[in-house]
Amino acid sequence: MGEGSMMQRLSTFIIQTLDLLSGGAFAAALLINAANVAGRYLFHSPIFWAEEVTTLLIIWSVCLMSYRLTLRGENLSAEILKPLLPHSAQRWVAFGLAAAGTALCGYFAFNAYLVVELVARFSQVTNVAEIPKQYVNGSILAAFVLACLGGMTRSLSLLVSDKLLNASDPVEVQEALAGSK
Amino acid sequence: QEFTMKLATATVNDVQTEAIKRFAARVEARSEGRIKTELYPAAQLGSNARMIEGLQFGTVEFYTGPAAYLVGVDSRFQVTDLPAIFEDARHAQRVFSDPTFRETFLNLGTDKGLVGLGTYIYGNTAFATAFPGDTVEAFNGKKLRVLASKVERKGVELMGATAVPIDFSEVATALQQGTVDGMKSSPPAFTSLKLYDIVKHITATEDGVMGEVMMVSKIWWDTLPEDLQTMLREEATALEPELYDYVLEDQANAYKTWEEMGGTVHYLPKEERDALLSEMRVAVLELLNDDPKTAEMLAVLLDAADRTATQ
Amino acid sequence: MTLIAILGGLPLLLLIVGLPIYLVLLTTASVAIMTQMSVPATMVPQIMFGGLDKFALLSVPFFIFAGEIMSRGGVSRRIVNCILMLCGGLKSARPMTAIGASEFFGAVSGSSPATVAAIGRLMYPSLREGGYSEKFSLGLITSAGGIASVMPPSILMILYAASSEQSVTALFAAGIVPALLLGLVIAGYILWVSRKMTPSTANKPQKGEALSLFLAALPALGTPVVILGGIYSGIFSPTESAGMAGVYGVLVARFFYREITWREIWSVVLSSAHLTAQILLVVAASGVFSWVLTTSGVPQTLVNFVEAASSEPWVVLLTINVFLLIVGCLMDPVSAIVLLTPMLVPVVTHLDVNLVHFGVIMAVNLSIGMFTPPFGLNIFTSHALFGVPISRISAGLVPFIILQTLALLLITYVPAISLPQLLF
Ligand code: NA
Ligand code: NA
Repeated sequence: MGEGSMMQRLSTFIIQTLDLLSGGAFAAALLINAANVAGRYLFHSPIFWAEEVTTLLIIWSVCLMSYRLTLRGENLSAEILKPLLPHSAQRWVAFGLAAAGTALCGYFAFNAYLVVELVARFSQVTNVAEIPKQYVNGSILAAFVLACLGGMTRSLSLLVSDKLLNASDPVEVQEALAGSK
Repeated sequence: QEFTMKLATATVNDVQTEAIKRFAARVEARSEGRIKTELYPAAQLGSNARMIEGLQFGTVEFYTGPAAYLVGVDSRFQVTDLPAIFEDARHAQRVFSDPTFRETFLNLGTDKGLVGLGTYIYGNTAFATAFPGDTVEAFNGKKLRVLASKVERKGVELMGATAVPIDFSEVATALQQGTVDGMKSSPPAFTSLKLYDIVKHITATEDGVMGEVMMVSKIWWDTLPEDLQTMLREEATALEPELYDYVLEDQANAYKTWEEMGGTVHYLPKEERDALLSEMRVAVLELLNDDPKTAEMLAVLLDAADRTATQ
Repeated sequence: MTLIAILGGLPLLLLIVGLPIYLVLLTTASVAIMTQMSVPATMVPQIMFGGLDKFALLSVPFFIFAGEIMSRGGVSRRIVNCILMLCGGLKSARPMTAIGASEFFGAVSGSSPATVAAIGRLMYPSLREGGYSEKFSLGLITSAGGIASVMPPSILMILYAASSEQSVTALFAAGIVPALLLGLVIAGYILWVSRKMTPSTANKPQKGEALSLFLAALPALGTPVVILGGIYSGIFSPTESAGMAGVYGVLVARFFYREITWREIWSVVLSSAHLTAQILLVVAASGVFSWVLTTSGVPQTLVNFVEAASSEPWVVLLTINVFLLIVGCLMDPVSAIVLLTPMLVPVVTHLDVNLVHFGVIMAVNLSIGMFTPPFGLNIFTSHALFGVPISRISAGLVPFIILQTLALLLITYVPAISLPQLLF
């Protein structure tokens, strides 16, 4: 129990931190977009790097969410087999999927690392804002590393309890319900 | 041993497509089946940025596209697009074919995984606008879409206009709705985008050219035997004059098509254009001389331009 | 041939087992790359990034945010009140309001489940009170939400546009009449069901009240005006308009209606980022998958196959529709549209089908998929919202699925519904 709650607290802390970063990037993208429109239309002075940077902020925002999505099994999937299985089998299938996902994400993270390493070695920058490319391509690396961590936590958690199994409704349904309150 | 060469570019029905088609045909013929070619026009393998990365990672073997997209790889790639350096397109051709210039320019990307095989141009620079741009004054206070480079921005600002970045996917809508008043590019690009359905005017400033590169992946290049490497270089060099002929005819047709579709082609009054160009020249030389790296490349370009000038 | 087996068989297997779709796509692509192609595996993360690095895709997160901020800002209640007032003394006032409010809410939001929740919470109790059966009420609310995926702004259409290189603005314009048609078909059914109902008197407003209800709904209903007005007057581009809709939503909800706090706005930011991530991860992975498809010539093979099988566009379109309806039963529409667009577009291009029209067909079809069992986000929403078993909701949906499928056929075979310019 103690170990479980320790893991849980750490996981919650990670989610909160990532939420803050991801939401911050999302909000910044909204603000920059609005500032660019206002600057161009009202003052004839557009923000030159606005399109490039807003796109990058959203990409980072997406990638930082992958821990949460993986941990809770919220990634989009076609649930064809699951409803046909008894509850106990569902848990083992979910465990197998989480473990396999962790391994796959580890493999993709390794390849994403190679990409980041290469662009860093070439000291390349983006065309407009001249941001070093490793901060750009690093987003995909972050997504896989976080998915790997999330998958590991999910596998471990499924071994000790079935709490994460019937975690919740699909994300869009959750949002819809929250939004209509 | 057999090699496969995926040739990729972002567009269709233009000089870039012509380049991959003709290069592939030459390579297939000369290599006698040792190099198999596959054509991927229309950005089938991704945007310009993706295809350039693809060269570096060895997922794409050959790419052709605007040199402007390589400034993130190395800022020196912008020299082909400088305004007020060349007398005309043929002068640009002589400069880009100059052995000293080629030696430097085509090797700019080698240590970053990009082997330059050749260069050509997409056409002269010009503006497509919603307003009649028959004088420099007409551009004052207008919003013009340009590529994000400092040089392009500076050029437009010297005309009294605001340089506006708009994503390529939205240029047509932005022009149609007046989000921008015009865009800088090249006449063949204007007609292939069918901009004559949207705006009525071209101003043929022809202050410079849009430089193009033909590149292969260094990873792939290093697997080729020497005779094939030599052959690829020779074929690219031999293809270049054909591409210049094609593009200049394409450009002449583009101006003609524009007028046939009910548009007007304007030229700035000679003294105004001369004054604008000398201002632009001073400004861009200053910009590039700011950085020792680009200054050096600029010197190579200017030397070649002097050697090949007619006056 | 091995390649076709890998690209066709492996994803099917992994999908059935239940691996997340983005991993299904990446794994399939990786296996194809490693066994059949001479490209390094670094292309997976590289092309994934490329799949996201598109300015036009920004309208997905921005419209999600705009829709959600509006639904939390009390917009749905004002829309419902306004339409209920307009339907005044009709026999069918309550269900008509549900369908009408779904149309209007759909013009603010790009999400079907959000529409089900927003309108359902308000109208389901009212429908039951008015004497409508549980089956009918659930079917109506759950299916009417689908309209939001066809009425602009539509996330499905943005994703289709990004994948098929069509103009989002053109797709949005093409979606308006089909979205109205879907509502109209349901309205006809409502009239028939309500023929024996007595007119409701409860919601007949006074004259002054009518005006104030209308004025209260006006700022919310102004969203499409802001979006389209901004684009057509050149203030912003289509993608930027999505972000501006979000800003407008904040202004209306925070400063005009004063129904939302800054803390709640932050939680909308978070949940929008959450939902965006779920969608765009699949988009990124589908980029890798379609890269592999393209370089291995699968779309061309498919075109040749269809050419050999039938050259009649109507047969091919019918086949595609049936196929998509089946896909819609099993899969979420986002995954379906990003996965299938790159394969189907070459086929229909070959048959000279207008690609904007085809985008509408796909969006309408997959919007029906949102309420076809067993997998339907709208069904799950209703289930969570009203606590009714999925089987009972599904039973209520049957007439609506039939009606919407008929509308789909009309939209498929009468291109002028989507492209009125064909008439002039
Ligand atoms: Na909508
Ligand atoms: Na479904």
